[in-house]
Amino acid sequence: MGKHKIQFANTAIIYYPDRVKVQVENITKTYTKLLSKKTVEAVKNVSFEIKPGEIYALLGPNGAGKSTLIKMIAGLIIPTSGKILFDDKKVKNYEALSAVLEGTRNVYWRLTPLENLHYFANLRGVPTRTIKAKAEQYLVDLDIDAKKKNQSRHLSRGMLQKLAIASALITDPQILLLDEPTLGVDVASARKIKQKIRDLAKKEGKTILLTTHQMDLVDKLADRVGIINKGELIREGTIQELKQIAKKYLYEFVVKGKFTPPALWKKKYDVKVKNSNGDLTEMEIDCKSAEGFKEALETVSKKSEQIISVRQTQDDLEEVFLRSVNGG
Amino acid sequence: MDNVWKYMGEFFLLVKAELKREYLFLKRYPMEIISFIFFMYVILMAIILGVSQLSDKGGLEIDHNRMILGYCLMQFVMSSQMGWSGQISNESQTGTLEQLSISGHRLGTVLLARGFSQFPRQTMSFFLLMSAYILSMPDVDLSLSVFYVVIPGLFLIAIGVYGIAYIFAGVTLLFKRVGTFFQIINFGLLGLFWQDRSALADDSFWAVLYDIFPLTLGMKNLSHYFQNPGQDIFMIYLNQAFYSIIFCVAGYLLFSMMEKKARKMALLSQY
Repeated sequence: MGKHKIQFANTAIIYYPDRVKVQVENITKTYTKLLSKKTVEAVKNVSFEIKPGEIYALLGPNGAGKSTLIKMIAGLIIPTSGKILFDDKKVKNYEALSAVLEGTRNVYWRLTPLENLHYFANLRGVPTRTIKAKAEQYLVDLDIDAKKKNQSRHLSRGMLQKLAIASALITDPQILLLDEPTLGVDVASARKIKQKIRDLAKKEGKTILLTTHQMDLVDKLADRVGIINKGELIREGTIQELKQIAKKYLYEFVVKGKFTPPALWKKKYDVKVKNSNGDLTEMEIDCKSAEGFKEALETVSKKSEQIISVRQTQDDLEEVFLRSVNGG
Repeated sequence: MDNVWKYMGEFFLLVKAELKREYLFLKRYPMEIISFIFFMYVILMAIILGVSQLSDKGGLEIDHNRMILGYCLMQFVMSSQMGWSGQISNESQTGTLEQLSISGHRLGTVLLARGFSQFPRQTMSFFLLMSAYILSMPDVDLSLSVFYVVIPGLFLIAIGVYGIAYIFAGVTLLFKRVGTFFQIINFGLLGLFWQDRSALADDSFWAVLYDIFPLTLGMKNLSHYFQNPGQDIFMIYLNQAFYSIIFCVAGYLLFSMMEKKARKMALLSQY
């Protein structure tokens, strides 16, 4: 594994010379229906970049274009326009890449897990000694070793998913594309998969793109997130950035006594009274702007007995996602 | 030149991986082959029985040697043609076709490697089926002692057949559920194998086609291997190799075009 550490005065930078940057530039995919000649734009002018050692998560509702995008990066679908580059070069060979695509597929059902791992590694010319050592290790790591000699068709959905991940990893790819990697996987295994993904990016510098509907997975793993809806990348950034972009002026007020928001506020702010028990009133106000916050603060201080606390809050990722796809 | 060696090395790895997989299937499912051979055996026996009853009544002449050779070659050819098409169809459902497509090898190359790795099994089936007819039909005048001439001949025929199998596979990639259609075509091809070359005028269009089409040329040469195993063998091999390679390359190129179309239409996976 090529890994170099450069030591500066008080900081260390780790870089991976054999690792690959993925660039997606203005990708569009249009399908034309054969008979009606009607066109459907599955992906519209999408651009983003994933650096080596970075985990990039694509979030989007069903049918948003995530899988199409992942398959275009893998070379399984040819884009209508735009470019996909690995390290600034047009992709000619996909041997740097492994992918786990959609659910329980990706492996041979009549082969055992061990045979599947050997087959996929053999295809890519991994030396037999390496295969033997790695295959056993992955089967143990992902809790499939007890079933390693059963035909894969007898494995549960979660087991198959773990086997697909092991098959992708055994070839030591530089780029890893994971479409719903923990779907159908039990909690303990999902945790191991998350840890493995994190290690692959942070310890081995692999470039990872994942799609999922599980917000906690994104929250815990992703360095950056792209939100895609109806084929368009509508938001992109780190999780912190997205949370702030979505609701920059969201404040939580706690005041003494009962507080009824003025009727006028309905037009200006989004107010959610979270708790009001007579002693305390707890409310969340989306003030929309800095001016709005100033006005709200003045009103609350005049009309309440006493302001106990004011705190800027953030939406959780799920809220950010829902607001984004609903046009918020 | 380096690229050629690199490509050859990668292809060798591919064949090795496919041979291992083929061996595992062979070991795990021997009944699949035995039942297939039994099924094929029964079909031709039924045909021969029916035709001999007709011949008793109407003086129809039957050349059992030609019938058996043509039929055995048809099953040999069919396992490539239907095999590739079936694999494309199944693997697009299981998702492994996508995995193969991103393995760093071209899909056409993977199919060719599979063809090579399946050749031993196909050859074994060919000889087993033929042995069954030789043992059960005393009037058959075919000897398996010429196997050393037949096996290289079968290999050259197989290369030509891959050209046709590529087209079947490409059509399957684009249109998916076409297995039954190809099954009918394959049985239709049986007529080609039973066609008597000597009945065609030498300068006719059909005779020219017969002499270059890998299946009919293969049948002609196969008859020759069994009848005159030592005669002009090198020239016959060379002739078969020439046309087989042309068909294989043409098939590969057509398949690559269809594969590109399939990638444009997102047809590599599922239905």
